[in-house]
Amino acid sequence: MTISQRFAPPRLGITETKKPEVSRSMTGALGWGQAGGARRHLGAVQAGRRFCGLLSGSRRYRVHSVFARALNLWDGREFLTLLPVSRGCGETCATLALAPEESFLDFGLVPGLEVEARDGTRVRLGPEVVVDFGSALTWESRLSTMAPGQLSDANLLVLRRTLLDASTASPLRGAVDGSNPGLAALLDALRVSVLAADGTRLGAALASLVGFGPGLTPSGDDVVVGMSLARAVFRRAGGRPDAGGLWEAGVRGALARTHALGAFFVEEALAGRSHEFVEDALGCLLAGRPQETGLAARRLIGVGATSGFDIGVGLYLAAEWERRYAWCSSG
Amino acid sequence: MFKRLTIRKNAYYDSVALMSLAQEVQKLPGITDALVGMATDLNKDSARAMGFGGPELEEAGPGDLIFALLGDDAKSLDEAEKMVTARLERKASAGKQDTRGDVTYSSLAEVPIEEGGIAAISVPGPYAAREAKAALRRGLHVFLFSDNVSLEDELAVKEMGRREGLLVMGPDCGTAVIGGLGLGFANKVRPGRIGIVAASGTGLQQVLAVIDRLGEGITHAIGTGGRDLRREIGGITTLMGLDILERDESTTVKMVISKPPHDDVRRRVIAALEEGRKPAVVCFMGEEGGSSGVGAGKVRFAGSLEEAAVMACSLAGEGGSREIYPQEQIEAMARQLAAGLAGRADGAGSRYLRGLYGGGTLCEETMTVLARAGIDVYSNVAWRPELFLEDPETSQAHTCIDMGDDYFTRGRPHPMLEPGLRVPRYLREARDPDVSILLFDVVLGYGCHPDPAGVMAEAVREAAEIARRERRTLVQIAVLVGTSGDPQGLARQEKVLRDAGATVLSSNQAAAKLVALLLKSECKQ
Repeated sequence: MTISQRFAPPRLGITETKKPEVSRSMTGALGWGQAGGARRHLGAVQAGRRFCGLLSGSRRYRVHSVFARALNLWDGREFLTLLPVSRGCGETCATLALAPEESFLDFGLVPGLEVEARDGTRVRLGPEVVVDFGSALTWESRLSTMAPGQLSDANLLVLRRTLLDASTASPLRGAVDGSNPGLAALLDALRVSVLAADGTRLGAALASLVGFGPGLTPSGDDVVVGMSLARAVFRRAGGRPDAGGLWEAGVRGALARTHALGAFFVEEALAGRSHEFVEDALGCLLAGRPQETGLAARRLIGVGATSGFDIGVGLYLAAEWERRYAWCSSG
Repeated sequence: MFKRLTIRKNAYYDSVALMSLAQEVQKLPGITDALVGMATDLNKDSARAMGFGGPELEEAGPGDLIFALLGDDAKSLDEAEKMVTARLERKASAGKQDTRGDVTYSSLAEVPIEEGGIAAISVPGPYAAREAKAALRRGLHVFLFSDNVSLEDELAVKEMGRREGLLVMGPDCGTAVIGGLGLGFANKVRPGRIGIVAASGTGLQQVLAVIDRLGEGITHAIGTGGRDLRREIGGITTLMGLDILERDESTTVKMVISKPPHDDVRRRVIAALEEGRKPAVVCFMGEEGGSSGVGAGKVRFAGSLEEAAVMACSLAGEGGSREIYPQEQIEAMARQLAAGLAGRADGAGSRYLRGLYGGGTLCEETMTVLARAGIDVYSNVAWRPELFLEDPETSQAHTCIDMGDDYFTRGRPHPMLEPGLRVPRYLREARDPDVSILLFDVVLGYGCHPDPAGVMAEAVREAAEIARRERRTLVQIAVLVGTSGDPQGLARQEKVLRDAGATVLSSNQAAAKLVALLLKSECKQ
């Protein structure tokens, strides 16, 4: 029998190319075997330093919550968040190279799955997904080295204008345009109580705010994140202790009113840390040009359904009060 | 703490099955940690991290099974071991049908085969030859996707195939299209008159893409694996493939794509082509074009993949050759992009190219084009020792990286499966203030990532943002390799890249020529 006789394309027919018989299942030959047969092997692009505990295996995380474009891990105390590259990074975040239509919901991940670290660079999120941190860049906070100077009126105006122009359906809109007197009074109580060193009034106002409103993280928590972060940065620049202020104590006292994820983000802000887009918006407000401030503010407002907007409101109010009353340095 | 290490010699099991088994064992009462896996370096490291050691572990190889247990007491370890043994025995039993109707068999011997066909084999390298021989014994041609197969094993399998009159495509064969059936990373191509034998997966895909763009089609594209034209193998599969194409009535033009072969093998291949009745195009990557100058002159040599495809289409049809990107068009693109670079805020100066490729052949073709233009390019696959990057992680001056090279794919999927694994490096290059041009490939087809352009588009946007913040100008060039019928949608993938700000070309050679012009214009400033 000749080679040609044994070669059997006529049986297959000469047609347009069909789907291959072997494709992604041929992963063993490409090294997937060593990754435990995962269906997806995602590349981490950047990661904050808080991922060290996960990668070293010294802290054990589980999947906490899964969304189309965000995944939260939790070790009972601390959250880590995985996001697509375009969604920004942070000390407790890592960004992954995903296509725009790829969703964490498609990866078979469910809350409670134990996350397994291997060899200090790879993390198995579930039976089908491995994240490779081997080439990830370490995320650097812009705020950590920043010394805020004189607050620019132009930047504050740009931030206010950008918030007013946004179409976000947040209950905190009224705090910017003054259209909600009840909310304005509540926020004013925050300002006055800190300036007057009135811890009781501050506690009452925070109790009405923390845990209040819609969103994965409640709107009330988000505005407190913005205010707390701005205070932390100003206080650090002024040599004031991060944790010892009246505001800081009052906020910590109110955290039992919200859920673990919301409380974690507030704690981070009190320590002067937040998501990249939040830090960028504050950084631009403090030291950028108006055009940059506008860009950063628009990017922040795009975060979540209402979260970015609400955090922006917190940044704006804290900065405005600092300019007028040295609010961040008070209390 | 009780611990137990069991090693089973020469017992191969699928890694997916072992991983899921390890997870089940870890959940057993009294078990604190468990590892069930083949004795790869990574798994041996994991076993050491669990506190195991000794000569038995050190001597274990990738063909051996490791079973490491930590538990609260000996009884728990006994129970776990019993469960693993039972499960492994069950896995070794005959195949069963899943819900989709696919049947899984534990060995080729169990597969009912009524007539000849092709066995596509993808198992870790050390087991590949054994499976390939089993397939040949069943009268099957072999498509061997596995890499890390020794040269001795490759020769033995191919000689066995030749004796049986059966093709062995591979090892490390990425792409083949046999009678319309795609194997590996295959593009969807029309039926036509061109028959191809190729020792390069992405090289073949580039040729298929150009053929498709020119409206032609193929009969077969037979993969050979990258070492077939080495002296040790002697071109066994290439010569068998050419014989098939010679006898195939539908094939009117033959083509060979490979790295430059050993001289002896080259003579045999060219002689086979000259002895045939049909015209042939040869592309030995890195060599100049021209004619063979021997025999009846049936063989034409192409200097690039695009040129090879254009020549073959011209021979198959009636019209003359049609370049995809005429030189004037490339020059016009270069002028436009160079104007942007010249106008950047950071001033002119020495600026560098960084190319990140998933396709090794495309990477080499770019270096060839740039070398012909007098531009030295450092690389992890450089053929000139002085341009070889000692640390593939660190670029210097002009650099092109083959990210499909073993260094980057050990323990990780190939970038054609997961293009996102290139993104951290891409953005690191974007941050380098001396870089003004980023070049990358996006390869489409069955088996590839479902949206590779989408992944890279995000990186392109991010790189542009980095450059904007630093008030630099960055030219980003994408080589898009695919056909109009590919499942990712060629037009959509192109749009995604263009919308992100990349300059998109469908020919790697044209992209490399564009880069050369840009770098030359940079030097003049």
